[in-house]
Amino acid sequence: MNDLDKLRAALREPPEQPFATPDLGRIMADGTRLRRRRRVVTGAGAAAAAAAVVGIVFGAVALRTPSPPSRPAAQPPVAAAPGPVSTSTTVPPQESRPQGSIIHTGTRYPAGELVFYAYSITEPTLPGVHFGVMAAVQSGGKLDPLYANNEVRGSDRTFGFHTTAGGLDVGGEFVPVFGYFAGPAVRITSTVHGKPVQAHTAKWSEDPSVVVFWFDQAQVPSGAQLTPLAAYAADGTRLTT
Amino acid sequence: MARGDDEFVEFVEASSRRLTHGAYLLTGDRHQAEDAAQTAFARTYAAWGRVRRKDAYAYARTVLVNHVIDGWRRQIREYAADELPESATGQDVAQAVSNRAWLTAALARLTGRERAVVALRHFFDLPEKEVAEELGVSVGTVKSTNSRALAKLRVDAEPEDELIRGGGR
Repeated sequence: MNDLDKLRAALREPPEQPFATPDLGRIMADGTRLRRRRRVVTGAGAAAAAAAVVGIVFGAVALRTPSPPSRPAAQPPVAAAPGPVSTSTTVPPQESRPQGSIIHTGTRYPAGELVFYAYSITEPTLPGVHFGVMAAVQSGGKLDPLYANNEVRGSDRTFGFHTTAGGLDVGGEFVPVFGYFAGPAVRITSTVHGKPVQAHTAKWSEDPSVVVFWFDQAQVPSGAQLTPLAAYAADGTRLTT
Repeated sequence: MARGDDEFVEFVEASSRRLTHGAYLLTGDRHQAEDAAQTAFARTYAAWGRVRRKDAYAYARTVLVNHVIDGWRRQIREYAADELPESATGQDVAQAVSNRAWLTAALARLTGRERAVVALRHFFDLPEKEVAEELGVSVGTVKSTNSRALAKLRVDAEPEDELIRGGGR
């Protein structure tokens, strides 16, 4: 057995304390909520000709909250596991109503123009989060939400970068890597394979301290390629460390 | 119970230990690992109709890795160190392979990307090409990152892993 084999054996060595068994009831409830959000938004689009989903609308967030006292009756029994409780939850389906102006990217897809907009969030488990950013395709007056993205910890407007996501195909449309920065950023950069890349930026009309950014697909096909993001003020001062 | 739920339950029961373990290697924190696995399973369940006939495990693993990487990007400002750190423990993997403390300390010396490459390559056993696809980087980057990580771990690699220390053995 060489060193590498030994490393692999060490990596596979089970932990001293077994991991908590996944909470299947919570997983299926959260997964169902994600599916329902997709359907609700689709239904709203059909009814009001305002919104439809052409792909997955994600907004799952990871939180540490107490587990429900009992599982729904329909859930399969799972072995109870002691230890820390982990769970995830989602935000309500309010994604189809833009808050403030729509941000136009100029990127054209066959189905319409890629746009971003802020949407309202009311979620008791996220008291500091009141909005998220949606990537969508707009054609005429119709918005097709693609991918919802929101802060999942603390406040949605604390200084600095907030959730960054995207870099994936949703229903045949590419959702670029995007997110937002809370603060007076006019330039947001990163590097890919050592080459600097600069994001497009746009201020949110409802709160100019929120700067939505996104990268071109050709430059940043995946968020995993990015080195840490950097934000700069109008005078060139770097806002992030 | 909806159609396919039985299969999903079986899938979770069969894969949760390995995925959570992988998440632990990626994060170094068991609570974060359990949260990440829980989130990955919820998203997999949401897409179960699409992925159940494909490779659900690969889908869940990809969601898991992306979720962890997003957490790093937002929380951590990390820069790969070119210099190899001094050996923190003075131990060699050949002497302490089953020592969890060694592994924990050793992995903690790696950057996030290095941890990801080590976990995907040597825990999940993905070939370099798939590691590259999973992380959205080139195969060359996977090779160099893997070599750097193994060097930091002071592990001699096999020839195909192209270790920088004397080309492996």
